[in-house]
Amino acid sequence: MSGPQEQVRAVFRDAGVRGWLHARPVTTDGRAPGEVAVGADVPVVMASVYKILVLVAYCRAVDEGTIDPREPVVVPPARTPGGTGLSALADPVTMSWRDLVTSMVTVSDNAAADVVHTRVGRERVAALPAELGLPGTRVAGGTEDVFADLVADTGTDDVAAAFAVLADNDVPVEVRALNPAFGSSTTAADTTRLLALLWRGELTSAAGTAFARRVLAAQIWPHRLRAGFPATAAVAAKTGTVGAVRNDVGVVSYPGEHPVAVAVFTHAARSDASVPRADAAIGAAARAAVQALRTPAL
Amino acid sequence: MDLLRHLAFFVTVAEERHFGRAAHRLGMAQPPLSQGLRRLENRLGVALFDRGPGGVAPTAAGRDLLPRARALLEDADALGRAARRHAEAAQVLRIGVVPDLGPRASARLATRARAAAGRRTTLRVGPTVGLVDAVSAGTLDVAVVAHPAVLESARAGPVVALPTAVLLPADHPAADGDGEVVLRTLRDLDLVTAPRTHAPAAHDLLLDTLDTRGRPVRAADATTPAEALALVATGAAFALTPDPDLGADGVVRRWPAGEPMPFRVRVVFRDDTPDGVVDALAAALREAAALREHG
Repeated sequence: MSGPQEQVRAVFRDAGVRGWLHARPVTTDGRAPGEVAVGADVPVVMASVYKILVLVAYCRAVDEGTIDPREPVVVPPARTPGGTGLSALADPVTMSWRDLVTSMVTVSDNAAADVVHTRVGRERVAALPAELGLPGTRVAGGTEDVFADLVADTGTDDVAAAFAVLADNDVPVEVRALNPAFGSSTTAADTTRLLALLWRGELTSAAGTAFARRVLAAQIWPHRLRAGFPATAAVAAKTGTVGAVRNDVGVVSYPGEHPVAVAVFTHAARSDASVPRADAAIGAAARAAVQALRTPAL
Repeated sequence: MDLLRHLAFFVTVAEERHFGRAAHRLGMAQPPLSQGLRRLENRLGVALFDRGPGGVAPTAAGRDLLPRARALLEDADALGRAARRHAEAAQVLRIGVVPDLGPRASARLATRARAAAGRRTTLRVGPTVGLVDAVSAGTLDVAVVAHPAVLESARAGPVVALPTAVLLPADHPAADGDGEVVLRTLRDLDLVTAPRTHAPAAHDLLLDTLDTRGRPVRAADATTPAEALALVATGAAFALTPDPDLGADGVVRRWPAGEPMPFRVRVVFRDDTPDGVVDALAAALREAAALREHG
């Protein structure tokens, strides 16, 4: 019988993706033996997974009283593009800070993320990984910075044209956005450590922890981590997507069991904007890993 | 004592948590394994395992030393592999090619690679997944594989789109005349192609492309071009081939109508692949692509 690592590798291979995974019960911080690791310490492209760090920085600012979660904020139409949330809307929007954060996490709203990121402070988010003991993690900027690099690297005029270039199977492009050596990067093991700390309430107040858990549990995307688990398992997660990079990281909780943090990062061989098998592989790989770590909570 | 061998005992017992299973995995009897571990503990001056009635578990020291032991074993493996590579690389250039290209193109690629490297050249024909693994592991120096493919640690050159012809049964209505074949007219035929496991991403892209072109297909597996040809000749399937020589009695060759249906290939290689080989292979592939466009 093959172990979880072999199963995870087989899932990635079948889906035509390179993949990196780490899973651990949120009750543990150590590595072996309570973990499943496949390339868990290799630098990977974060994409929108960085929004979890913005979420943590926001919760801490609320704890300190430097941000009022209910304060109304006007977001003008000139904002970061994207398919969801404020990014998909045309006109000025007024929302509270906490609703902007909710939109940033639940639908991966790029415009909301950049506004919140700026409010909590770029340098504050950039300093978080060192503070939290995540040596393999670096937040180089926000989504608008990644998009600016992408447009420059593809020699296009706007973000939509840049993504069209990324989706061409005939001309694989070298862009910084798809290379962890540039821009924001992390490792699968760092990411599960972050999730475990957050889940255990060690990063922010009880109210902040409850808010963070709630918005992560409200993520709308069903095609990645969520697709790997039955309805009885609660899945709280955050996706990340840019070109062939597809990620989903989160915490899976079966009733009466220790929650398990699992981080899955993939890079597909195909450039197509939609590769359903690659999305499904994230759930299948996470399932193989989580099944190996399930233990009853006493 | 052979430290590396004893470290392998340590790592295996730590992974199996059971002397019997560890001995089985190592292909040895249990008593020498237990004695070997004792000798290792004596040499290191620290107990690596707690041996209790419930089984065997690493001590705190054992857990701390385990990653270092693994790293030493992996490094020793890498050393052996690198040494073998140097020994072989001095004499032979090992190239890989996917079977779809056909014998003539494979021989031409080998000839070009040999001329560029100035070395005796061996050719291995195999599926994309295996060739990429072999290049990553250093058992091949360079390979021409289907694109898109997961590249692991291999490096890759530009993508070359080889035009493909349609092979269809001679008695199929779409074979009448000698014009281009509209893929939609092959409704009753399966597409015979290499098994998905040979190159999952390229296989999925091909099927999605046919779907987009209004010709959703069922795929029939053929591990070699000969098997594919037999399915076409017997009237069960059509095939798309980049090999201009592939043909048989009862099989008709036509160009597909509309947008070409390219067979995309890419040269994958290593940091230590000899200079000039990658360029020579890529140039040969580009020539093949251009020739057929005019042919």
